[in-house]
Amino acid sequence: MELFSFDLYLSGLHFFTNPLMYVASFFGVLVGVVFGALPGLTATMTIAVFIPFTFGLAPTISFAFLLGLYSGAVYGGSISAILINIPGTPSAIATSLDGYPMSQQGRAGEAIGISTISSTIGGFLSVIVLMFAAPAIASVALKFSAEEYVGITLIGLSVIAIISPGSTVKGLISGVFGLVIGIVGIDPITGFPRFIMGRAELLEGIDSIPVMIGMYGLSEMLVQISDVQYSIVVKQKISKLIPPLKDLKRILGTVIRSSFIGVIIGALPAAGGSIASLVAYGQEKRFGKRRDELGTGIIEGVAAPEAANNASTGGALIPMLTLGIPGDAMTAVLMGGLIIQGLRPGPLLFQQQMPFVSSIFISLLLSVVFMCIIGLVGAKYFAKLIGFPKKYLIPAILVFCLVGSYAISNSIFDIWVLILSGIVGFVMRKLSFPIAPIVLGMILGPLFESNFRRSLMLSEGNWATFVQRPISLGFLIVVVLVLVGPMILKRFNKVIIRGN
Amino acid sequence: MTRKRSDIIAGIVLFALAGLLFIVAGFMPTRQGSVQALNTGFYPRMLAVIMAVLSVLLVLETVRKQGQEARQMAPWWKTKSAFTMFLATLVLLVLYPFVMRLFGFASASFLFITALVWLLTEKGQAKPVKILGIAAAITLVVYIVFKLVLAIPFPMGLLI
Repeated sequence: MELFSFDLYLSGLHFFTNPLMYVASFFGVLVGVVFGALPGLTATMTIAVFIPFTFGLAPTISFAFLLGLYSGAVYGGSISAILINIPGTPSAIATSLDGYPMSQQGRAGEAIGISTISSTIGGFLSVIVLMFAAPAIASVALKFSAEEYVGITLIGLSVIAIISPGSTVKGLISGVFGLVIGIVGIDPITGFPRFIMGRAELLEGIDSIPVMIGMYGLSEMLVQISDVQYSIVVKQKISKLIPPLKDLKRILGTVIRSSFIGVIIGALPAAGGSIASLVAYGQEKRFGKRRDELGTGIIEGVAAPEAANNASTGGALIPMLTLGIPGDAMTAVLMGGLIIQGLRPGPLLFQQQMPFVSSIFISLLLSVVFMCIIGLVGAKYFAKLIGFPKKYLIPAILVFCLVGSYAISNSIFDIWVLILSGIVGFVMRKLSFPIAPIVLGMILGPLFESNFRRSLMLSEGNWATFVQRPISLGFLIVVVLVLVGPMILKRFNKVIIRGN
Repeated sequence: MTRKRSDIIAGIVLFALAGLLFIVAGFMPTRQGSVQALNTGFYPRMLAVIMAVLSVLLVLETVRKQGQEARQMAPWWKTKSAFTMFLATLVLLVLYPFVMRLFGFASASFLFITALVWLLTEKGQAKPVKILGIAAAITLVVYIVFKLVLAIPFPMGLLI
């Protein structure tokens, strides 16, 4: 594969003579912003619930829609974070730190405007980085063999276990649980059916989409039903959405710095938008010109996390597209959307499906443009939607989950898979086991297993094969560092504190 | 129940499940003399061992915390209304596929939404016309998207 060939960028342009691409992208962003803005509906859940809609569409159109959802939902979370101090999606947590104080001062419109512009710049820069980094990484990844894939998968699972809130052991258990779900179906090597319980539907494994809709959509709704009801009213008037030039100048440095933080963190396996925005906010607190005023409601405090979380979108797509290892739960679900289209992400995608990859770049760019327009024009109306009563929203989403799960392969069996996963997800949430590692484990399971066993077969059962190849050894060292590092640091800090 | 106790129970349950997985995987066919990784039961057994180790770690971690996090868990099953609501939703979800096969997916969706909105509405405030209207509107959207636009073949019910 030729590096940086212009074909990679332009060969998908002809798809965009089809007006449906623009329609799909526009609606994707619109739906994404609305769902992202509604508290309790995360970006991951939005993508999971809408995947069944895309499945009859051509892959390019389906991805124009899904990437629109992705950008829109990550941005939309900021609207409720600013207006009511409840982040619509986890990646907007840091936005409320300064966004809500601004809103209390009657400057909600200004905050949303800054958030829109910062998200746009962040999103735009991340597409540029994606376009240059992805083919480079893909060409390196072409040289990876089974051992390296085992290493990368383990990195992904251990990082997501570490960064999931709460106990790392619980994160790891969730990850292994995901891998166990991946066992069901025909053994890839011997062809023996495992745990199919006499159901033909299970021969090819448990369909990951109904499980994801269950874990993210249904279980979240069950949690909300079992929670105390609350109603939200937004009374603020939204005005002055378009920021004045001097404000833009003021935040430019912050936005660019945070965007790069966002892309890099997004590109790390398993670390997504929420971490990116928190780190960017932390950086602003350390190095920003107005670090002392942060938290009181200044525009830098909105610009930093919002630039970072949208910048992480392009970053998170890098490992998903080039290695087939999703960067976070959102891209794991997006990967599910690719797989049902019959496309396997990984370095070969760049060789064999170049026009499609190119269309992904262009679609992501398009979604950033639509996000900017929809954000600046529509914010007033989205603010009203935040108060939409839960008692109508929950049943509507549940019906979408039910019908959507059926629609993937027209099977009632998938509805049972959905309901069961919803209940399991609910129990795990209540016991504070993280959900993201399960989804990642389930998606990566088959890939991990076949690479793992293939390595051992080729080495005739010699486990040393994983440490004899330098890159594979490097990956395994990273895994150990990720898992043991924080523990050692903690001990080390304790010793220092005692010493002092 | 405290978070601590629930974590210990979770650890024990997971250990039992790992044991079950290990035993069941033992019944899978093996080939004599070849590389172990070739056997069907090898990978499930490996995961079972990892799961067992992790569940022991979870119990140890929880015990070692010595009650510092022994805060009361949100007792969602103790407030009666939340628990009834949860159970009722589950019953509705389980009924959905049966109703769908019997009457068709649009009728099933309409009934599901009507019942759930009615359950979630505070008593005394329910306005039947409004609930039916909203349920009909949502059902119409679902029908247009899945039946007309995506042309999904749903099971033929007695109604639609």
